[in-house]
Amino acid sequence: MITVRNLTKTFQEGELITKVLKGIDLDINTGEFVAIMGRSGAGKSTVLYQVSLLDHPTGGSIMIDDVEVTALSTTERTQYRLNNLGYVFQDYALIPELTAKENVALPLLMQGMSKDKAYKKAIEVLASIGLQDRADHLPAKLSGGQQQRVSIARAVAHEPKILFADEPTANLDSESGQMVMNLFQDLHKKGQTIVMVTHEEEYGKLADRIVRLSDGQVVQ
Amino acid sequence: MKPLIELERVSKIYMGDGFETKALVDATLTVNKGEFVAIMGPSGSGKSTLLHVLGLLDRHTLGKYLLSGKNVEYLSDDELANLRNEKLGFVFQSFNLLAKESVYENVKLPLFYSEVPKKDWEARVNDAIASVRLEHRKDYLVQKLSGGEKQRVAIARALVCNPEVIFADEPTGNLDSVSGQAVMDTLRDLHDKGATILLITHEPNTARNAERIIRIKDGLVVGDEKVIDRAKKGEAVK
Repeated sequence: MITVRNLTKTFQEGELITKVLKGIDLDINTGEFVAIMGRSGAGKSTVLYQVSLLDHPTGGSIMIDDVEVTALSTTERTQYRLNNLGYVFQDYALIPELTAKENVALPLLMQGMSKDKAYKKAIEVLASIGLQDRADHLPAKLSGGQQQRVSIARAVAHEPKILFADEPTANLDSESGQMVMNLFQDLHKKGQTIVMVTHEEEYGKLADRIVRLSDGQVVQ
Repeated sequence: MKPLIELERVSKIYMGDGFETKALVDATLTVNKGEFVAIMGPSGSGKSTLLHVLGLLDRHTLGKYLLSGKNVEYLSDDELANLRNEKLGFVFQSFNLLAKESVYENVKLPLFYSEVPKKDWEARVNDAIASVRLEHRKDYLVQKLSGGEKQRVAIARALVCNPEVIFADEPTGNLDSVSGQAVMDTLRDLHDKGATILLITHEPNTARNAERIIRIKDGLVVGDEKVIDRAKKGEAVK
């Protein structure tokens, strides 16, 4: 369960101060699939970055289960992220000289798992999303949709508590976008908590709940 | 001494929808250990295809490619992946770093895939960071760095397994001229210490940092000469 209270984020560049988040309250239950939506500039990615510990909020608190993650030290945050959170980005962020299997194994290796075990697990995860025959392919040999599915496999290989996705379909055609969303729904059915930012209404509707942001505040 | 890289009439042909595209045709060349070679050509000339073939990121279609005397044609996908991880380092235009991790963690990454014993990792990472002069940024998150610094992190990462060749594909493509120059100076320093570097670029001034330029046009090697007016370190690249 994620509990966000009075979350604020202010960016300062020289004299210019921009309040991007103006006091966000948000509860997300374990196992829930939540879409965060809003216009460009509404603050939806900024919320995701704060809640997923990729950025430090200016104020407010974030609890994940019993841990006040906003109170962790930098090292503790990094460790928390590695062990408990998974990420999918718009641009896949795969490493081009590593095969699909090697890319998926990365978070496991970073956790300290041995290479053999990590590769075995990576192949299992790729098989579970129908990409076992692509395990030895380099990203450049895969379509955009396949690359995004590999990046989702990488994000869930270590069985994170929460999967965060920032505009995961934005670079994809509608067929590949739909496949990515089917994959999210499958993961959700198996109990995965998912928090996804999207600006595409049809994909937002596939979530259990839509949180709408406008001008740095939750409006719905 | 045997050359590090030997290509003999190597071609790369892409098949698609009933017609074939020859991206690389009958390329014959050798690169010796310790050389700094630029591969130059316009967009679509086949220079990236050549880099992909040389870097074992793609298989060639015809001809013979020996890397350290080993014919790569007969290697399985796994063997190719191991060779890439153990012997080759890559630097791309778009950095491809993990933005939310520190410089140290990013540079460490290739070691996970290598056979380097864990007890040596810390020293390896620190050495690689020192050789691109980013000791003062070691604990910074990559997202806080400038573009030029990010590319130097990518170079340190490419170095950390002591590769036999470093492939740099348009490493200054996303950088302003000052940062681009710093990146080229870093590659020059590494070369001075003995690294073999293959640089892909379409910019003549960037290419002049190498000792030798191979020119590619329409998939053909059309030139291969020593650089006479080699750029000075610190000279603007754009």
